[in-house]
Amino acid sequence: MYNKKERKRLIILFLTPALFFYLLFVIYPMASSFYYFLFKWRGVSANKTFVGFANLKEALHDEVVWQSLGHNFYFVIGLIIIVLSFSLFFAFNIFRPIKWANLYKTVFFFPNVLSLVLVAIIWSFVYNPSFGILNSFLRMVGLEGWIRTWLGEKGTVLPSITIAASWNMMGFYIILFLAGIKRIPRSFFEAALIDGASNIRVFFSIIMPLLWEIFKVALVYLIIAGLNMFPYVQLMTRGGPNRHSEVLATYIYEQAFTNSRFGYATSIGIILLVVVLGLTGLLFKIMSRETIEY
Amino acid sequence: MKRLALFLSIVFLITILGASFALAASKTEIEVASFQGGYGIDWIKKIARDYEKLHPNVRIKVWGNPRVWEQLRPRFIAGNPPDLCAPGWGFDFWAAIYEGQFFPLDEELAKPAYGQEDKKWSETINKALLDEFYWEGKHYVIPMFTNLYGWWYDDAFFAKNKWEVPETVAQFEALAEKIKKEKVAPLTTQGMYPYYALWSYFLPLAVKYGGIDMYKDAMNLKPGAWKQDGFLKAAQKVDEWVKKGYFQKGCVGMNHTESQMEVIAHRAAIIGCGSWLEAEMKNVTPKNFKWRMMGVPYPEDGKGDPTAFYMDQDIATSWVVPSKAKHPEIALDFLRYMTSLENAKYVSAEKGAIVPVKGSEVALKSEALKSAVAVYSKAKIIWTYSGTYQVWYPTINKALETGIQALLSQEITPEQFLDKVEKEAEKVRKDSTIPKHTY
Repeated sequence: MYNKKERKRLIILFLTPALFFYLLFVIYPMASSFYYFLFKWRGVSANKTFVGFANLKEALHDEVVWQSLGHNFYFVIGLIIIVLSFSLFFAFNIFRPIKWANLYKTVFFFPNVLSLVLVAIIWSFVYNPSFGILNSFLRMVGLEGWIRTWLGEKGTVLPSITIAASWNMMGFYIILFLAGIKRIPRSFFEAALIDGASNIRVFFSIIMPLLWEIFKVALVYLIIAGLNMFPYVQLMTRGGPNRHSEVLATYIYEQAFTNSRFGYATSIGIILLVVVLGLTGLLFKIMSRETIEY
Repeated sequence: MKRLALFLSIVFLITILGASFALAASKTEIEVASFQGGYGIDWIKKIARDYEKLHPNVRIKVWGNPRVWEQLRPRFIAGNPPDLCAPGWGFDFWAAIYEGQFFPLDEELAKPAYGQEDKKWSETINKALLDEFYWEGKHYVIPMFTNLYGWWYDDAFFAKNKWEVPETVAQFEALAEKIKKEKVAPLTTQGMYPYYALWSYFLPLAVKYGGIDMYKDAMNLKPGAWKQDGFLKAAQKVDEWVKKGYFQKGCVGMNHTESQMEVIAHRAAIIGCGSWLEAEMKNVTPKNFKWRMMGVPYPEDGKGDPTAFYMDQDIATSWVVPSKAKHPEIALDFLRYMTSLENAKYVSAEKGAIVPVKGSEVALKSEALKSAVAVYSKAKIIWTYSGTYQVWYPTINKALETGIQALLSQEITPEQFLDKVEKEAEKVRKDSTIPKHTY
């Protein structure tokens, strides 16, 4: 038997290597951005000019920053609505003793293991205005009037990307919720069944309250995903048309790697960091409930 | 006896090894790092081996990959760059020039060219391309591949339909009506990357409408330059062609391969692009498809030269010698050797690409590229964009890109488009931290 002190030492011993790399590759770059945003730096030499808060000030007055942030919020809300509702629905239904539950699990999880690049290419093909299956389908069923340039029009570009991203992310959340539901003791469901509770009642009175912690984690993940969205946007539209799908991450990329304004890009990154921290903090505050022990 | 033999052979071995090490040490090694794209890096290695034969005391280590700039950037910052590099399209050449990271090439350019000793090195290279990276009296970049821009079509498809290649805007519009009747879109574009539409529709039309001096005014940030008549007429023409349905429906949402595929599938007749098009689409182009390039049609009422032609260096494989290179003199000499006429012909033939060394175009095998060179060789005026204005003032370029996208999707009028660009140019004019250029 280890005593407490030895146990602690062992934990520290095992944590040290991971902590070292975490500090080196995550914390250090993050912390250094709080240094670089004070400079005008082209990123090709060691020359930097100190400009104080000028970058941050400019970023706060940059209309593209606000426009992009707006798109990020659109994605956050869109993903939360689509991904959460569908994945909860599917998780609940797969959990029930239905035929081929395992097949469904595999099918739903499948998009999640695809590489993001592949997902973006698949969906670009789906939305292709000339030979994409979406427009071809609409043409086939006689809805020619509904045909759109899905990724090339102001009104359709954001929903189109949201759907593609949701399709990609859904599997993970289904599995997450499924694992949560499985943790709930069977006796609860049996008791509910004996009392004659409907499926809807079981869902809202048993599953939702007991799944609350997982639900919260899922929300935080989705918020972070919605505030990022870089791979989908960069690969599917590059922020276009006319910046109608620009998000902060693609704008940061443009400022740093096209315009060679690393200090400015970093200051936009800081705005993004503040938004992410603020939003998740707020969420935890709003959603804090006493954890139900069972 | 056995022991003596063993001893002697060990001594012999050590001597041999030592001598070869000493020999290796007396060789100077230079490091060459290159972007590895469609053209690969085998041709650099081949030229390097030839150079080593000419200069037995030099060893050239060549390496490269498709994202080489990611490795080169930290090395430039740390002051430890290779001796010679083609840092690729992801590298900001101009930022590096402003920061003094590149070695000025003018002294070397004044030396005789390899194999053509009666000529200076500079005289053998296409001047328009060499001058793209000219800053404060010095040249910094040697182009290796040339991009020629124009309108591309399938000659076989045109012949089958008895369509004639138009020279003027009026001829094009008459043709477009005919093409539309066949349920084919006359034009398409790589809308997701709106710079294609700038390169091949808006800017060439503008230069032909307003003349090269008007274009120069814009390049030189002259106040009000973007609101001149030539730019407006070009923007109005693009707008009109969208309204008349000449541009393929949905092209704003297509990427480069998708839209280029539309021409191959004969759903669109013409696409504006650079001379890499044929090579890029090689794997999906049917055998009977004949890529050919035509010049952008000129308006009969235009003030500019009808033959005005847009070309640029393919920045992905342009060469620079870092100012902190360890052996700049060897790197420069090797670079001069690499662009000798003989090597240029070899690269051109081997890679099927246009090399900006004068006289090397005779080695071209591709009919598509020959058609592009034919249009280029008639040009009296040459202008550049993607190595100059596009990267001098990336924010104005972005305004042009988003503007042309908005124009193609009919969100704004031609006047609003130019207002937007002029506004951005005004911002750049006022920003003293942005280095200003003369075109």
